[in-house]
Amino acid sequence: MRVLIYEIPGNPHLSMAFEEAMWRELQKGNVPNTLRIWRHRSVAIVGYFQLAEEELNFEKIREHKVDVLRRITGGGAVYQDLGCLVWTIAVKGPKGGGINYIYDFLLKGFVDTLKNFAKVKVENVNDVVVQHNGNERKVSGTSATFRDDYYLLHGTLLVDTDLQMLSSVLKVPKIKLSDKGISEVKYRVTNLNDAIGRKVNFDEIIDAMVQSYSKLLGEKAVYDIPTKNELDLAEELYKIKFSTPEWNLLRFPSSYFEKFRKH
Amino acid sequence: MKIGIYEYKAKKGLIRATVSLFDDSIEVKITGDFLIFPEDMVWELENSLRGVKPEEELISRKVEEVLSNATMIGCTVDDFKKTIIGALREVVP
Repeated sequence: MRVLIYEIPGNPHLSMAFEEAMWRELQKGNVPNTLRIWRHRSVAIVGYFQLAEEELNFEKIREHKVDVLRRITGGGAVYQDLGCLVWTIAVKGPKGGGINYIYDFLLKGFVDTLKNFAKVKVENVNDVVVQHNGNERKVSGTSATFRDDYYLLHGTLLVDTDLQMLSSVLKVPKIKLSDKGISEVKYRVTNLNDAIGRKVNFDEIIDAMVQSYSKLLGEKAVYDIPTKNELDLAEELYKIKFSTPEWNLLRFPSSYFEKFRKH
Repeated sequence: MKIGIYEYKAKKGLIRATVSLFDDSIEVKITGDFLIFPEDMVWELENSLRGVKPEEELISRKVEEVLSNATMIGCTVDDFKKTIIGALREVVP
C-alpha cells in the first residue's frame, strides 16, 4: 500500500484534480493501492449530483473567501479547513464487490482508525458516529465510487474545524429531516477534539490510519511521492475540469470534459 | 415555460427534481445528496426525459427503464419517480 501525504492546501481545485488523476492511474494499473491523506484551506465541496447554488450560502462564501469545489462522488456538501483531515483510499479489489466491498470492508480501515480515539459506530450504511457521554456525534462524512474492480472511498475527519463557518456556509435543506423517525446525524456534527475532550495531534491520526489500512489490506505501508504521470494528469484535469464553472457550479457530468483532453 | 420543484427525503439522501414545462414537453434536472451507481445514470435519466410529453405514466416508465440497472444506497427507483412526478404536478395540476 502506497501512502501519499500529499496536499496542496492553497489550491483545493488542483488538489481535487490530483485525486482524480490518482484514481485514473490506479485503474490503468500504473500505481498501486494508495492511501492519500491531505487537507484544504477553507473550501465548500458539493457532491457530484448537487448544484452549488442550492447547497451553499454564496453571501457567506464571498464574504469569507471560501472556495467552491465539486467532487466526483455523490452525497452531500461539506465544509473543510485546515482543521479537517481528508483521506482517500483507492484500491483494486474483488470483481463484483460493489458498494458492499466499500462500506462493509474498506470503511473498516477508517472506523478502526477512530477506535484508537473514541467509541465508534456506523449508522445508515456510511455515517460514522462517535459516542461520547451518551451523545452521538458525527465527526466524519464519507463518499465513494467504483468502476469494475476498482474502488475509491474518501472522507473527512473534523478534528479542529471552524464549525461556525461550517454551519454558515452550508444551507440547511427546506425539508425537515426527522419526520420519519430516521436517525439523522448530519446536523449533529462536531469536532473529534470536542467529542473526546482532548486535543488530538494530526500525526497521531495519520499514524493510526496508515496502520489500520495497512492491516486491513494486508499490505506493508510504503510512504511515497506522486508519480510524474499523476502530477501531469492532475494539471490537465485542473485546467479542463476542476477549475471551470461548468464543473464546480453548473453540475456538468464528468463525461463532458473528456473531449478537452489531449491524449 | 413553467418550472416546478419538488424535494423528497428518501430513507437516506435528499432528491430534488426541477421540471421545466415547455408547450408540450418537459426537461428535468435531478439534484441532491443521494447515492447512485454508476453515477452518470443521473444524466442518462435526464437525457431520456428531455422533450417527452408531460404524462405521468410515460415518465414513470422512462424512469424505471433507465434506473433498473442502477445501484442505490438508501433510495429507490420509486423515490425518483415520486420526486419527478411531484415536480411535474407543480406545473401540471
